[in-house]
Amino acid sequence: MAVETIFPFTVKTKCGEAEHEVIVTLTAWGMIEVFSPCQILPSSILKLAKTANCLKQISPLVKGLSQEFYCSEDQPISNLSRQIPLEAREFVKIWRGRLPEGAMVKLKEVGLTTLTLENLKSKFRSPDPNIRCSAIIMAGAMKKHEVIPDLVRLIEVEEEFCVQLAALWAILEMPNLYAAPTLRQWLNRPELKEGLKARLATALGQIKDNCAVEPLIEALRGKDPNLRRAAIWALGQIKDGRAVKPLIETWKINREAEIA
Amino acid sequence: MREEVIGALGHIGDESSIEFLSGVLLISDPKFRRLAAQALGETKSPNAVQSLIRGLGDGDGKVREAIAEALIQIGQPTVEPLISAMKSKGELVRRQVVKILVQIGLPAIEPLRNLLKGKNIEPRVQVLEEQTLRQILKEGGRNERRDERGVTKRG
Repeated sequence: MAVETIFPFTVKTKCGEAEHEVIVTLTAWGMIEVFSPCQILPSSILKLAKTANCLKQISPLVKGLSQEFYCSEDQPISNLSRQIPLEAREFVKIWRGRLPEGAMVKLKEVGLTTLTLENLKSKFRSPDPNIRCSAIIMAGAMKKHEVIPDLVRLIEVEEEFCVQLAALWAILEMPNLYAAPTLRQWLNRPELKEGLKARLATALGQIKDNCAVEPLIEALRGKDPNLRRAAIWALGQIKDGRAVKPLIETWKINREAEIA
Repeated sequence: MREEVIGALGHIGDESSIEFLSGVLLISDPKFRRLAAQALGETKSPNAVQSLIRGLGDGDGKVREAIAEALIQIGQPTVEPLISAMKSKGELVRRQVVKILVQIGLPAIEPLRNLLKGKNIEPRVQVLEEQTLRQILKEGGRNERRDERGVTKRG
C-alpha cells in the first residue's frame, strides 16, 4: 500500500469576532501549508474586515507541529493542540526520520532527478516553499557541506518557519563551526521545542563550540531530560572549566530528586 | 542524569572536576564509585592518583577493577605513589598494586630498582618489589618475543 505524502485536515480558528475553518496540509518533506478562506477574499473586503487574523491565530499550532518532524524518532509527540487529529500525529510519526524520502518525491514531481550541488542550490531560491524545503532537506541528507553558508544566510532571510526548520535540520546533519552562531541563536529561542533543542545542543558539542558554554549551561535547567542530557554531554565535549560548577549543581539536584 | 555528569566532568578534567570526582569515590553507591573511577582515569591527570590509590581497598570488586584500570590509564605518574602503597597493611591493596605496576610495565622498572637499592626497606615490601620487578621483566620479555614472532610472520 502506497503511503500518502500529504495529509490535509481542518482546524477551527478564531478570526476577528468570528470563527471559521482553515485547511492545514502536512507534507512528507516537512512543509506545512495553511489555507484560509480569508486568503481569497478580495482585498477591498479584507480592508473592511480589519480584524481578520486567522493565519496569525493558527501560527503557533503550525510552528509546534512543524517542529515535530525534526525531533528524534524516539521522542513522543507532545504539547500539541487538541484540535490536531490523531491521523495527523500518525502522519508526522511516519515521516519523521524519513524526510529525505519525502523530499525526493517532491523534487521528482517537479522534474528534478539529478541531485547535483548546483541543481539543489538553484532550488533554494524557488518561489515555492515546498521546493525550497525539499531541496534543503536533500542537501542536508546528502551532506553537501558546501551549502552551509547558504543555509546560514537562508535561515536569516527566510519567511517560512518550516523552511527555516528544514535548513536548521540540514545543518544538524553536518554540524560545522561556521554554523555555530546560528545553532546558538536557535538554542535560545523560547518557542523552540526542547526535543529539537536537544539536537542543537548535541551539534554544538560535536563542533566543540566554546561560545556555546553559557547557552548550554542554561539548557541544563530545561524540563526535557533529553535536552539536559544533551547539554551535559556537549559541555563535556567542549571541556570548559566554566561548566564544572553548574554540572556539579546538576548532579546534586538530581541526587536530591532521586532520593525524594 | 548523574551518570552523564560524571562522564562530562571526566572529560573536562580540571582541578575542580577531579576534586568532585574524588569525593564521589567515597559515596555509598558502588555504581557511582565505579563511574567516578573511570572518569578520573579519563582525566589522565596526576592529581587524580592519590584518591584512586586510596580507593584500592574498596569493598566492591568492580570498583577496584575500575580504579586499577584508571591508574593504568594514567600510567607513569602513578608509579611512585603505587610503590609507596606497597607498604600498605592490606593484603588486597598490595596485590592490586603489584598487578597495576606489572600492567604499567617499563616506566615502573627504574623506580623499583632504585627503591631496592635503598637500605631501610621492610623485608616484606622488598620481597614484593622484587616479585613485581621480575614479573614486569618477564612480561616485557614475553611481549618482545611476541613482537618478534609478529615481525617474522609479517616478513
